[in-house]
Formats: sequence, C-alpha cells, structure tokens
Amino acid sequence: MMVLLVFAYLKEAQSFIDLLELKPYPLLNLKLYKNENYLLLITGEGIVNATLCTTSVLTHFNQEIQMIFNLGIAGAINPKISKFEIFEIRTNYAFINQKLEFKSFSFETKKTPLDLLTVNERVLSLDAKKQLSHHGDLIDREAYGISQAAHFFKKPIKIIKIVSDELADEEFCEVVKSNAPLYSEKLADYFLENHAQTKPQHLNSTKNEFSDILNNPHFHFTHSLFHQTQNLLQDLKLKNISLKSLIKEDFYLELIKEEIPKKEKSKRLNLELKKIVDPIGTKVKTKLQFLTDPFLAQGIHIKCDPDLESPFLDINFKTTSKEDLEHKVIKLKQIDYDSIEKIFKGKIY
Amino acid sequence: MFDKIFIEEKYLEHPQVIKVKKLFPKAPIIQISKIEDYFQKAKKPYLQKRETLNLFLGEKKGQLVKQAPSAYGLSGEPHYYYVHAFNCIYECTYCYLQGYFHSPDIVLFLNHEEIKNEMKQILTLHPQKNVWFHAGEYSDSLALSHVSGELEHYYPFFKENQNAILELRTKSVNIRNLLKLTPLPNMIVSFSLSPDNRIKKTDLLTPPLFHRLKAMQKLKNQGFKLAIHFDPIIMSDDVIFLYKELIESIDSYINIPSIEYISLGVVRFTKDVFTSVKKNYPEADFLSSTFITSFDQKVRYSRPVRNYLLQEIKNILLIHQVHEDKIYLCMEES
Repeated sequence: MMVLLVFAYLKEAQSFIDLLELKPYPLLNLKLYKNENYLLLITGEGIVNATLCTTSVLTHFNQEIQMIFNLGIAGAINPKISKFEIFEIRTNYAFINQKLEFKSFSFETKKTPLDLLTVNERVLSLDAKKQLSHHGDLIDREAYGISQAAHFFKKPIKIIKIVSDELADEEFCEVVKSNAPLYSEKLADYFLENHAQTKPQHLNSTKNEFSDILNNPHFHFTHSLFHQTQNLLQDLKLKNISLKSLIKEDFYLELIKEEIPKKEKSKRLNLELKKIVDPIGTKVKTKLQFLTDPFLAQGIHIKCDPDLESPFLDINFKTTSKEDLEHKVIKLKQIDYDSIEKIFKGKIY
Repeated sequence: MFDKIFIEEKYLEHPQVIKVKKLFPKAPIIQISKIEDYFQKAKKPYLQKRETLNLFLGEKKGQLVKQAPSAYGLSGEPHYYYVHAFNCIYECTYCYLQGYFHSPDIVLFLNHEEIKNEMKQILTLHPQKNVWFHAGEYSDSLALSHVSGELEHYYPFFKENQNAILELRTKSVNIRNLLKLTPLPNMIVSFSLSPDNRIKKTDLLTPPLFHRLKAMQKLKNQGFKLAIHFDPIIMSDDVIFLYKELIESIDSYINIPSIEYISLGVVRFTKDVFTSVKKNYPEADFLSSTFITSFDQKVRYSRPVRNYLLQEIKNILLIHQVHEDKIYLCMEES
C-alpha cells in the first residue's frame, strides 16, 4: 500500500521528507519524493497546479496509491479559530472567480469538523472574507484541485490543515515562508500520531469479517457466488444477525456435515441465507416456482419477470412436430395464471 | 439550534423575523438580498445538518401552490400542496429530502399572502368542489410552526373558504399553537406513524410514538379532525405483527374508526434518493431488503411484496372497523 502526501510548498513538507526519509523520485517535471510506503508531491500554488500534478502522479501510480492526504497551511476566516490549530476538513468547497462552485467534496472525519474553501484569487478585503465566512471556516488555494483528482481516480482522501493567522494575503505569504518549518513540524507530528497507520476503507476487507464462512474449507465459492454470499452476509449484518450466531444454526452445522460437493454446498448455503435475509421475497419466488417448474418436464421453460414487478410470463419451448406442438399447447393451457396473478396481488400465504 | 440565520433584506423588519431573532438570540444574523444566492449554491452534504444547520427566511418565488401527483390523497377531489418551507429538523433515514435539495438547511418562506392568493385562484378553477391543500410536502408542517408563525396566516383563509380543505402533515407533537385555534371542519391534522421500534431505528430525532399518540388524543379531545399516514411501511420479519400492535395502540388512544382517512404507502425512493440513503445510512437495516426499479422508475420492493404489506395492513384496519372508503393507497399503482 502506498500513501500519497500532497503539499503546495516544499517548506510545508520538509519535516515529512526528513522524518519519513523520502528521496527525490524523477517523474516528468514533478517535485516528487518517495520511499517504500509514501509518495510526497509538491504541487506549487493554485488549483490548476494542484490538479495537474496530482493527476499526473495518480496516473503513474494508480495501482499503488491507496490513500491520499492533502496537508498544508490554511488561512482562518472563522474568527473563533486559533493559530496553529490543526483540523481535518469535513467539506471542501471552491470559490472560483467570485462564484461558489456547486460541486463539493466531503470526507469522513472524527476530529472537530470544519469546512474549507479553496479560492483561486487573493482574498484581501475584509468584506470578501466576511462573504466567504458564510460558506466555510478556512481558505486555501489547492485542496479542491487535489480533491477533484482523487475523486476522479476514486481514491480516498483526507485534508488536514494547520491554521495560520487571519492576515492579508501578501503578509500571509511572508508568514508562511518564515514560519513554514514550525507549521511543517506540527503537521508532521499530528500526521504521524493520527494517520501514519491509516488504511483506506476498502482494504478493511469484508473478507476478514466474514472469513469464518467465506474461507471455510467445506465450501467452494465461484467468483459470482462468493460475491453473492458476501452481500448476503452483509445484509444479515444489517439485520443485526451476527455471524457467530449464524454458524451455530442447525442448518449451517448440518450443511457442513453433508457429503455433497463443496460447490453444491455453497449454493445451498446461499439459498439458506436468502431465506433468512428476505423471507417474504423467498416465499414469493418459491410459490411462483411451484407453479412454473412442473412444465420443465415437458420442455417448457416459464420465467416470471426477474424484478417481479409485472405479472408477465416469458415462455420458451422447442417443438419437433405438429403433434408435439398440439401437446404443448394443451399443456400451456394448464398454466395457473390466476394463482400467479394472485401472488402479484400480494396473496402469498 | 441554528448556526446562522440568513434573512432577505426586505423582510428584516417583518414581525415574524423579529420574533425569530428573539427565539434564537445567539445565532448570527446575515442579511442577504435573496435566498438563492446562498441556499443550494454549493452542495452541502445532508448529514451536516447534525452539526451546523442554518435557517433562511425570505420569499418563495415561482410556483407557490402545486398540483399533487395522482394517488396523493383520497380520490375524487383535486389535491394541491403549498410550498411554505424547505427541509426538516428531523432526520428520517429514508427521507426523500436528502436527495431532493442540495442542502439540508431550513428555509421558511414569509410571503404567505401570495401563497393564499394562489390558493384563491385555484379555488376558482374548481367551483362547487372541495379542493385539498396539503402542507408538509418539503417540510414537516408543524415541527417549526412556532418559528414560522404560519398557522395564524392560513387559519383565517380556511375559515373563510370552507370548500378549501387544509391538511397539516406532521410527525411532530408541536401542537401548542394549534390548540389555541378553534377546530375547523375543513382542517385535518394528519400524523405519520410507524411502529415504535421502526421510529427508533429510522425516524431519528422525531418524537416517540407514545408522544405522537398523546398529541393526537389532545387534538381529538379538542375537536380537531385527524388522519393517519402509515407511510412509509418498511419491511421486517415481524412487520405485520408490529402494525397490528400499532393499530391497537392507536385505537386505545383515539377510536381508530373515527379517523378521517388513513393512507398506506410502502417505502419508495427515486434513484437519486436511494443512492443518498445508501451513502448516508449504509448501516440502515432496511437496506438488506431486495429492491427493484418499479413501474414509475422508483426504487421499491417487488410488486407481490408491496401488495402483501398493503393488503395485510389494510385487513387489520378493516378488522378494527375502519371503513374501507377511508383507506387509500398512497403513490401505488392499483
């Protein structure tokens, strides 16, 4: 697993480069650093640079990168926020050419949540800051571009910002330059304490969660059956039925003991799980099968609407002679359509 | 309760705005020229309502009263809903508002006179007929009625126009202002009810069933007409038993056959809302059910399952002496 750390300025990133012992990595014209587990990218200032550089790295390391962090300094527009405080961003908005972009990016965060506005031009007047403060708490110049690239590549991302003083923009840049090592150190401490072990959500594999069943040597799951069973186990979890109690159920213990091929056993398990997850839906399907399956012996395949939304029947058969056709037509007249319609009207029991 | 209150300039001196400011003295007031400049300008995630919820006060523009879709109310009479507010303080996990607006912030409209004028025009389109006006399509009609102060605006209109029927749809027990009014024959307070454990699981922040039943009892004792919405009905293994219990509870508080009407509706979502529900509430128990895309492209249970739920619950109501004419199926193809 590779984690991508994205900064705007080298000075913000310096502590990370030192602590993680990152080495320059030549790729295009990017300022990129790398070790076994981390990539660190310096994008330069602004949304365009941030988007371009992040996209380039993600294109090159798409398979390896599992998680992205955007770290750096942000200006406070909420007067309640103090200098040097570190926040994980809840929602990232963009204010581009004096206009709020409709699309926003939201992130899971356990810390005090704040909203970040990425702006594309300098915010100098108090009025402008007041205007922006209606939409968020902090401003930066890059996060939205990085979020956009992460979203495009479907990579999880967290934005962590350290707060600078509420200053006019020119002064802000000076402060960043002179105080950057301090900001960088604080950010690195925070990151190493809270996120150095961060794993992306999808790597918290459901395989492990349900492994008692899915990895049980008594079963052999084909690819699609594996996913179906995994989804059913997930549904059981939503229904508050624990895996521990499930594997103690009689049906499960008996199924394990049965001397049938592993693949067949897996199918049977799948059917039993369906019954538990959706007893009424299963009842509907069983009743319909009871009405349509007897025709299989005559070579007549009857299928109901797979969504069970409309009471139509899809009937297929081959005929070999006039007599055979007449025989099948007689059989077709025996389809109990009234009972099928009753099921669609809700008469299940 | 509110993080910030945004008020349109022209309403700054509106008596209701002054009352709202007193109700929420700590919330910063932001003067704006129009709601649209801020509300939904950027996508604000639905669940942010848990942490920071803003209030907007201003004017509703465009169509103020809209024709309701078919199978919205008792059939045979025209149904409309009027737009008095956007969004809700409650957090029902199945709620369509989470995919409808791009912001969970609360908007209360103040141009009630214009809304009433539109209602008047609609009445002229249907002479000699009862015309229904439903409140609470985009918001709970009573939950913030003490903030909006709107009951006192609409009450005289319905008192004067007896062929206009007002339905106030709610899950709240905020009936104090309502109880100050004399009941009208053309005013119906309808409560959305679900089994108690369903309310606890899905109707987050709403009053418990017991409180809603008490509120209904108070209103009934004062002479208000009541209606019930069993909507959305959500599948569970014991769902029929739970509705049997629920109907018995209601009957013990307010003789259920005396209810004006009862609607039954099975849970349904537009595709966008379903996506939002899965994103916002991935642990919701009802997501374990099998959903399909139904006749109107909405995401629902399969037709046999929907009809089973509707028929079984309807039968329980019939057993409790509710007249069949009073029961209607909401937003369901017959």
